Amino acid sequence: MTLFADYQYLNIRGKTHLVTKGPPVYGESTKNGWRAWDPSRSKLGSVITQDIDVGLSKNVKVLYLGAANGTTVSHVADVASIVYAVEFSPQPMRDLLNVARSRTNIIPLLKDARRPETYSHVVESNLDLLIQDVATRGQVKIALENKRFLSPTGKLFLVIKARSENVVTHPDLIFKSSIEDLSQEYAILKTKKLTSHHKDHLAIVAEPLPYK
Amino acid sequence: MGHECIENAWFCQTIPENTLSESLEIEEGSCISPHPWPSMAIECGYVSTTEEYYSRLYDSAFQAAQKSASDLTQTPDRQISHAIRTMDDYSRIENELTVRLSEWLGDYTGLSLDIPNSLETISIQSHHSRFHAHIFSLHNQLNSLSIEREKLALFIESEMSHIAPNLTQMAGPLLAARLISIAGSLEKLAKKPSGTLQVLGAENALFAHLRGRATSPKHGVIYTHEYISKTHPRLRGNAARALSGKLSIAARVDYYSGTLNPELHSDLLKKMDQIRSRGGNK
Ligand SMILES: C[S@@+](CC[C@H](N)C(=O)[O-])C[C@H]1O[C@@H](n2cnc3c(N)ncnc32)[C@H](O)[C@@H]1O
Repeated sequence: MTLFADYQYLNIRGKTHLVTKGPPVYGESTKNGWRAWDPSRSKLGSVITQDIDVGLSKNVKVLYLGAANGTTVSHVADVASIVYAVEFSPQPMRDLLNVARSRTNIIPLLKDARRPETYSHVVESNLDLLIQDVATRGQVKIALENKRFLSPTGKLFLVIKARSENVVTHPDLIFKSSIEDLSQEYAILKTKKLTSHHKDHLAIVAEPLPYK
Repeated sequence: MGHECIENAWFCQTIPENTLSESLEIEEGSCISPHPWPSMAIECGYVSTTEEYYSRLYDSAFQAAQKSASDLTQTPDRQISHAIRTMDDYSRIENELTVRLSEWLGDYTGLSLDIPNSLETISIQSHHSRFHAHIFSLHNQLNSLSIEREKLALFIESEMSHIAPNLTQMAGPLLAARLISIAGSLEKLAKKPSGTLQVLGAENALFAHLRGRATSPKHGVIYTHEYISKTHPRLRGNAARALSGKLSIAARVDYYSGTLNPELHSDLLKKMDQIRSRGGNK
């Protein structure tokens, strides 16, 4: 066990958990200030437990699109120095605000991720990590539009939910064309189909390509 | 990153150290592309450290998100707009009918008495003409209108202290309700610059009529406030600017936090004393 790691694996009551350090949020098991990051409730968590580098490390600056009630955001904020958390629906925003109460490095923004110009006056440039999990139509377009916030050495962690794009087309076809479209402006580093709790989701890790 | 960009930043348009206007800016502002805002904020002297920058941003963003997320359905301020307009309609109609009644009574009695005395005169007459009943019925209508108007005024007064406590304390419930009604809602009022607030209602002849005299159109409804009407005419411009500035802050506090902040009111009182001491009261 590494001391002062921002996330690590820890045995809590006989079970190994991915953990981050911070105040508990959703009834997760805790030990000495570390809190279990439940991969069944977080796509990002589930990808990290599969040993994929998603670009989350100590003190990174993050833009998180589709923050929802803050389950995943809370863990990201335990590690990152600042998390701009964009969510456009008022109901989950209220829960997110409760998470942000105990984490002042979360900047909550009730905004539409399809319109980055409405938060470009708040969110800074040159961010290290763009995390997107919006489960709405046009997911690739949103990732392209929000590339403007990323530093040239930053990373994108994108979740594509097939059913949000189209319910009749086979998910594999949707994933294929999503990757194609995304490749115009991002270099794909890794793709991973999620299973069990996150069926029909594809996780993509990518790097922004220089602007032409 | 030119200096033209900083004009779009969430922290630039705002009154220094004012979380309310920063929240507004976060909600309403925009910019084509992001910039290294934290370092720009330090460069332009808005904050001196990155920690300070993020802490201000956190406060303002939190407040903005909280406000817009809870904004969903509550519009008592819009209902109060209808109430104050109804009240003003009652007043206008009462005025018209009073003029009508007194003309009719004057003609009918052939005397130039006020309304109560005329009514008394004809009620003790033994002979009741066929006009008599209609004159009394007109008078009864007038009475019930004014009872209704007073009930409505009481209702507005009690509602306004919940809807906009600070604005109500400073402007009085009726003027506060009128400002909201002219602006369209408390939100819209809160988002208007104080210069606009100063002339709000200037275009509306109704209020000049209500005060029983025509006023110069550059004067908004806030000129009915005693801080202005009882200030020396030479100083009214100053008083109006000061009052509208404070009322505009009050509207923002009401819109964002909804709790009474007595300091705002004492600030206004101090400011008014200052202005009046320059020229004495009228
Ligand atoms: C699958 S949930 C995200 C779950 C979250 N990432 C987590 O792991 O805790 C998708 C969220 O994206 C939000 N969303 C959908 N479209 C959006 C848009 N255009 N802009 C911002 N948020 C959006 C939805 O309201 C919903 O809360």
